[in-house]
Amino acid sequence: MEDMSRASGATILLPHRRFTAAGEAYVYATETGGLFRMDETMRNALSAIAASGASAIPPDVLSDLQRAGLLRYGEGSEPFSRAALPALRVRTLVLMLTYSCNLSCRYCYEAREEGCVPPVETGGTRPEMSVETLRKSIAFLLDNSGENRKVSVIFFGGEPLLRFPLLRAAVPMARAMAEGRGKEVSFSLTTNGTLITREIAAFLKGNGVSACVSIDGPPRIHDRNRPYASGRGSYEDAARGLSYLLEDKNGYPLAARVTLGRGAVDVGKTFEHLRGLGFDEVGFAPASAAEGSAAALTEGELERVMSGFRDLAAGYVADVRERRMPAFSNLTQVLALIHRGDPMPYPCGAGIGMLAVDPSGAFYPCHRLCGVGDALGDPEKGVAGEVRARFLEGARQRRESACDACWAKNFCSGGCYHDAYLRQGDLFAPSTHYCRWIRELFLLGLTTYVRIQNETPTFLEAMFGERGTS
Amino acid sequence: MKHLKPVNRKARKIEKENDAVPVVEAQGTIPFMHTCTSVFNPGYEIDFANGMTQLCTPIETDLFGTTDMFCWWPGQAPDTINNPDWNADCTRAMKDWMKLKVVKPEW
Repeated sequence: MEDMSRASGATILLPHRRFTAAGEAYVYATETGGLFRMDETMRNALSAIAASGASAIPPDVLSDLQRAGLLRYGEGSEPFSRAALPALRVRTLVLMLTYSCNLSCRYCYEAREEGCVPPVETGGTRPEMSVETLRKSIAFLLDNSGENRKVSVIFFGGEPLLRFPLLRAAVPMARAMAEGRGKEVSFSLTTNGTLITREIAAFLKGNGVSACVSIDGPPRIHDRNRPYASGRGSYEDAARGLSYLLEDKNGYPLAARVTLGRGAVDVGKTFEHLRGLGFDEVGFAPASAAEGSAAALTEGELERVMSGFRDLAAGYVADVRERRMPAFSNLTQVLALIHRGDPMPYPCGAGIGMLAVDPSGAFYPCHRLCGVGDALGDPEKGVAGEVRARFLEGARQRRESACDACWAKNFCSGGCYHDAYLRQGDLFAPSTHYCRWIRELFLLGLTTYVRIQNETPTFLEAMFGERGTS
Repeated sequence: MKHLKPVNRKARKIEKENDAVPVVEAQGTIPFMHTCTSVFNPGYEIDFANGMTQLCTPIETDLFGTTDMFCWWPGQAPDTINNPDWNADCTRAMKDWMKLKVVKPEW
């Protein structure tokens, strides 16, 4: 019977999301990534089909549904599920200069509270990166970037500025190596800001190293989340470091990365505070934390975060209308995904366009996964094809089995591997604890996209088009 | 597309690609040419909405529903102008279908 059904070509309504905005009805077609405005005929037809009560579909409606990727005959999965694994074309290399850090943040995953990096005393990796490892890693990046002419190096840790001399040596070295290969390399640094001096700030600005500062908001929140080991808050020092970066800023972009932990979820206030400090971009992420951990957000807090995000989205639309650069970077990312509309089979570039090198020189899919599972290789032997294939296959199977029918799968693809690992002990468990929240976030993205399209359509192409900046 | 207007870049691409394909107007007047005949769906297993409420029935059990032009895949039946009484003895098709008259061409 099953085979007969397949042969007869049953009609299948494909994953989609219908929503209304400004009195009009829209539909996002997941399989194609197309976002469409529906007329009344289509709205009624789609509602009727979804309810299984449609008696007949007029041919012109049927044709539109098929073209948009909302209706399919027969079974079978999408073409990409059978496609080969994506080739390794490294574009971004995350260098873990050190595992050491001068802070003791309460949600940190680096061998502290939730810990996934094996501590040195139990046979873990060497905590400091050598110049030689750094040089070989950059050479690997440049030689394995395929046709990408522009590559990116991210200095990460631990606190990478504990190794500022290494960083200072790395930048000109990488530039020279890139030049010899006809490539261009850009740099960014993720730091807690506390160690930034005038000298460091001048170096970063002078060498085009962009900075992303981890800062959680006003002193009360920040100091609670991000203290020194002694318990003293780090806000004052981070703010001082920041002030050096802001001196003579001259177009140098500054991004704040906020981690939302339990008891600190007032995103509106945090956003205002950080904008006031001079940040150009502010992005939020809930702390990756094991189930029941003291850092994990509660359901109620996730609700509050979403409510704050809705207010920030309204501000975003207003900024765009007034021709001000919007700073809420979570929304910018979602809008870019919606605009381009390309179905995304993996949640991120880990193991595809991005690799992380731990201090000992071992490759991992991303900075968060250093020390989790098998290493992907090292700069000398290269990436072990079978380990990488196992990793990507796990990710693909997750999406195809757990997420296949979800309308939001293009945005999240099952969620962060590391988050799943902490919560469920399995890199490839779908992050079901975030499903509802993530769908709400993407719905907010869709409605905001439509609002901007109606009010200031030029923004979207300027930001996210072929020549866009994001 | 008639009932969907593209909003994002991907949707515009989809519309553009489809517009490039010449659309052949249907010849004749049988509606739903697009469905059954193009997908070889006899309609026995599942209906077009993926459910079972609108399933088609075999010609024997729904003679008059499946011989008219609104059926997805109309059954063959004599024309009623030249053969007005071809089904005269068949008031309940499920029971009487054996009594349908055979219509043969005459010359």
